[in-house]
Amino acid sequence: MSTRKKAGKGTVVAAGIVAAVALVTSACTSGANAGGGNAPTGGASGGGGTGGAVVNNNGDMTLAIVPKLLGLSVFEANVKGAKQVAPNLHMNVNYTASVKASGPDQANVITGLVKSNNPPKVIAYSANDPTSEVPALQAAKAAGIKVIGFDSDVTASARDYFIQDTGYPEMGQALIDAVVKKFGSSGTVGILSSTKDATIQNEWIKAMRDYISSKYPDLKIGPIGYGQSNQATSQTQATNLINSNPDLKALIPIDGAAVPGALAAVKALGQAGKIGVFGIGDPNPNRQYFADGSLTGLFLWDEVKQGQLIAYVARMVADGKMPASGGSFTAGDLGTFTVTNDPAPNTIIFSKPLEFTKDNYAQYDF
Amino acid sequence: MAERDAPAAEKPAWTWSWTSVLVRRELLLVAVMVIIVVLSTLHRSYFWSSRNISFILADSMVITFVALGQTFALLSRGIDLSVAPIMGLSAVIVGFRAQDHGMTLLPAVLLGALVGLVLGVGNALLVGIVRLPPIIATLGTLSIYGGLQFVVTGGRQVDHIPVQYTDLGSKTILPGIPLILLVGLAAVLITALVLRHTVFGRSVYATGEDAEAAYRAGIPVQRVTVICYLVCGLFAGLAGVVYLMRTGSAVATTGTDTNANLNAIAAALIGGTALTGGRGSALGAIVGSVFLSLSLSAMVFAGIPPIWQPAGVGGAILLTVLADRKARRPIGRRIAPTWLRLGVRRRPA
Amino acid sequence: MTGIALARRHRVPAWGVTLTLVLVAELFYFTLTTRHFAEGGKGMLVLTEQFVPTGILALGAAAVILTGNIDLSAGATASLSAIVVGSELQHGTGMGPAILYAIGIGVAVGLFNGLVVALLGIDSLLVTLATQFIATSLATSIGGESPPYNFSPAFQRLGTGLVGVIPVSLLIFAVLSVVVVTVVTYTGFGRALALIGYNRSAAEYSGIRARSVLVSVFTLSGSLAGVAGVILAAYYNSARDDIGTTLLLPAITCVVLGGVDIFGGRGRIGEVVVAVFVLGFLTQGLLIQGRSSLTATMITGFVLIGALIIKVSVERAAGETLLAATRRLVGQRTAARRPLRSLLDRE
Repeated sequence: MSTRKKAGKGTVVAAGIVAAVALVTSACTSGANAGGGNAPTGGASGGGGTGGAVVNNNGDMTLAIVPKLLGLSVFEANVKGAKQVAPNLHMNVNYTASVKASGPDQANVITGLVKSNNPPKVIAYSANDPTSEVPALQAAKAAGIKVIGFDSDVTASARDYFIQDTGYPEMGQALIDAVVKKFGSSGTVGILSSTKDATIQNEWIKAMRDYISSKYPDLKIGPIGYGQSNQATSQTQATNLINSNPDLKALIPIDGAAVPGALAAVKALGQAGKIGVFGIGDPNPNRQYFADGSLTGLFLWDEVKQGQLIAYVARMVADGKMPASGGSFTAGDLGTFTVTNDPAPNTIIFSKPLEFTKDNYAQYDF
Repeated sequence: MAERDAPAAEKPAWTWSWTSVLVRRELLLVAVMVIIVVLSTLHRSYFWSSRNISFILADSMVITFVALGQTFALLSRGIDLSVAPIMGLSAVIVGFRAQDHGMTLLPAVLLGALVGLVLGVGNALLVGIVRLPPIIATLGTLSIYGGLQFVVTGGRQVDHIPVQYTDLGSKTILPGIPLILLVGLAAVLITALVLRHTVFGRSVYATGEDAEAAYRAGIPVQRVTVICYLVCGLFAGLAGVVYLMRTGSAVATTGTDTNANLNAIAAALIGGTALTGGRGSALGAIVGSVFLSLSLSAMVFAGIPPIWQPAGVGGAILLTVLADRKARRPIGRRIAPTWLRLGVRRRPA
Repeated sequence: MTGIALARRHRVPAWGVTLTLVLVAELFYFTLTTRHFAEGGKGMLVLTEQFVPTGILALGAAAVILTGNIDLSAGATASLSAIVVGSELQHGTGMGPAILYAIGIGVAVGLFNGLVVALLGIDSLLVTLATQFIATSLATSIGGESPPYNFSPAFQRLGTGLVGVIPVSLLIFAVLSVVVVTVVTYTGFGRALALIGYNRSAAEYSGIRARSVLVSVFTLSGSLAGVAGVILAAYYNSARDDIGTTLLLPAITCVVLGGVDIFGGRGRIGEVVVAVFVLGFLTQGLLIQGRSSLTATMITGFVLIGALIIKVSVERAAGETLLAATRRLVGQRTAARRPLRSLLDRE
């Protein structure tokens, strides 16, 4: 039957096209892996024996940065910073991450790195959750790879050092102080977080609550919404929160995607300036809101410089030169840092909260 | 055919109006929604305010567009799981052009539709020509397009498009009626007209109902299937532009992060479109989407903790489908014969 | 076996053989190109720990899909079960009872799904979509702000322990596969599954109690999801409310790659098991090769489409015309919807 013949030819052609496209795609994507690529370790492929990390005799090493998700601007900024100082540190930076923001998927990526032909010397992660990656990281440590965390941590025993973005109490205070400065010390504010079990967000919420109960007892934290770390859901939740709580003074989105979502919600409701938005997030998605006054406070930290710190710490950890807890070290022109045990063992606090205002946001590109 | 005689012999209780059968599920939904609105307003009076109602309507527009496209796929007894990254890719591509090159609205809409159409070609080829089962083909394209979205985004994101986009996404023309709703209604109207009053539309129903019979009746089943998936992709592309208008942003995970494909399928199914094809309407797509948006808002107003909101949506879906006996498997029940469901007016014998 | 469904018996084992050849080729390729893939065979076996939970979900999903239904809630049920076992362990419950509670939750969810689908007649996609949401909410609420983690080494053995060189979880998967394959292939219940999927009213008229079979198969899917959740909690030594939810789509991919007809009525669970290994090793191997997660995802999509194109075209070349395929696909639905009418007409 003619239909059968047509189907037969069609399928052969289709199969051929599929195979060709598959080959081309894998070639393209492995080269264009969002800026990092699976760069082979410089001249170090000859070294290294069975399963250990690879260090060449001129000190070249590979640092693998594995953030929560591929393509997020804050992590791209981290990688940019790390790559800026990498040549001086005789280091190659391999940036790879999962395409899904899930702990198990990230653990998979880490396991892939550990078992690859040229495992990195140091793995730097920002974890999707504090527990799912632990077995994979412990396997990395057992294979001789050093493990450092930044931004979002796992249980302390699974890593060597952790770079915390900023002190939790400091961030909580910065936010609340900004709220009080603009709207006074009484009223209700709402919080827009990412998910119920997000560790850093929960720490910030706790810090805010502690600060409020000690200093501004008339300020109330009302509803807490969860935007699931994406802007559309954050926007929907923010709008519903504002609509159902007409006496809300301000909204505090504490997640990178929640900030533009909250701002878009406030603007769509015509409440720009009347309901304050004080957030923790990066400036790029929010540039337009600095000008029209709806963004009343934005805090984060310098992601690019944090990336540089990651590189410095990685180098020192690889060389065994990191001080124990209580000690301090210098990281290039970033300054001096101390290793503490608060709130978790071997923690390095990167910086104080950095406030972005309409005067300074243009200097930052993330 | 044998079944044509049966109704005459059994003195059918069916009404003669072709709208009654098709609209019944939508009416049920509207009734449930009215109840929800009344209850919520009694609880908190500001539920019934122009800004809340207009928000609920506007927020459902993205899913409405995806569900409209999905309706075509479902009607032809298929499914399209790749609409989420198609929507995302459209949002990203159009968004970058808008943000970097200042593209205006009309070309943006056309570009979005084009992106959706081109991506839909993949599905159309696999399902229509190669004849892969739709769920497999679209599972495959889901992964491929999802990955493509990361490649196209390349570490950047869309976050500052011209203000005309977001104005269209949020401004209201009358208190409580957002502009974007009118756009959505126009799309629903056009789709409904195509489905009910064109040969192509009837062919879609016929194909989904009984592909072999349709084939024997001379309907170009293969062409109809191909066009269905093209249309599905096109609507997903348009949905991406609507997403831009609503949120002013797009990232590498747009579409998949909000489970747009599952939500669109849920909206279409709630609105009365059957999974097995041959039954459904464009109106059902929008009513289903608004229902989802309304339920979510009602739950926030009722103070239901966020972790229970998914359960609330699930419960609402179950209750609604339970209430509609038509959705149930007609084991031993009498069901409307084919001609009634296709909307053909029955002429007196 | 599903004698009614098969038009040409020689076609069906061919796919199983093809998949096995693909698996062998894949293992060869990865062993040759990456140092740590095989590690004398032990490494390869350890790799399976990562995708055993997906495989267990695929077993349950395959059984449900054979009947022409689908269970979208399997992933969320696994997450719920993981959280339940985790929080029980954290509260000091013994390992045995904790595992029983977790699997029990899976059974309960599956039972609910089965009852609503079979007795109320609502389409399984809608029902399991709703149950998925409900299970997710339950999991999130039990997990709370600080979901359970760090369980006893004895419990962790379930996920990462070894018996000799064979991982415990792989053994569990092997046992479950044998059981499910045997039940589906050789028991009346198993044959009923495919019959119901192929033509439900014909099955009912043959005396098969479709409703109780459906309730049983959904309960089976739910309990398998419960087992998967326990193994997930053991493997990651933690339980999150989304730990299993992301495995649903990969599980369904394994089922369709394994040749199970998505409309029901055709398929062999054994081939699904092989498909689980094919896809599992593919992802792991690609990652170990140093390819990005992005590439691995896209290649999996291509493999799925490519494999099914080949399968479909081989089947078509074996002589089944387009018409016959369509008739097979739609015949059951058309007849199913008018059972009484056709009977009456004949009288």
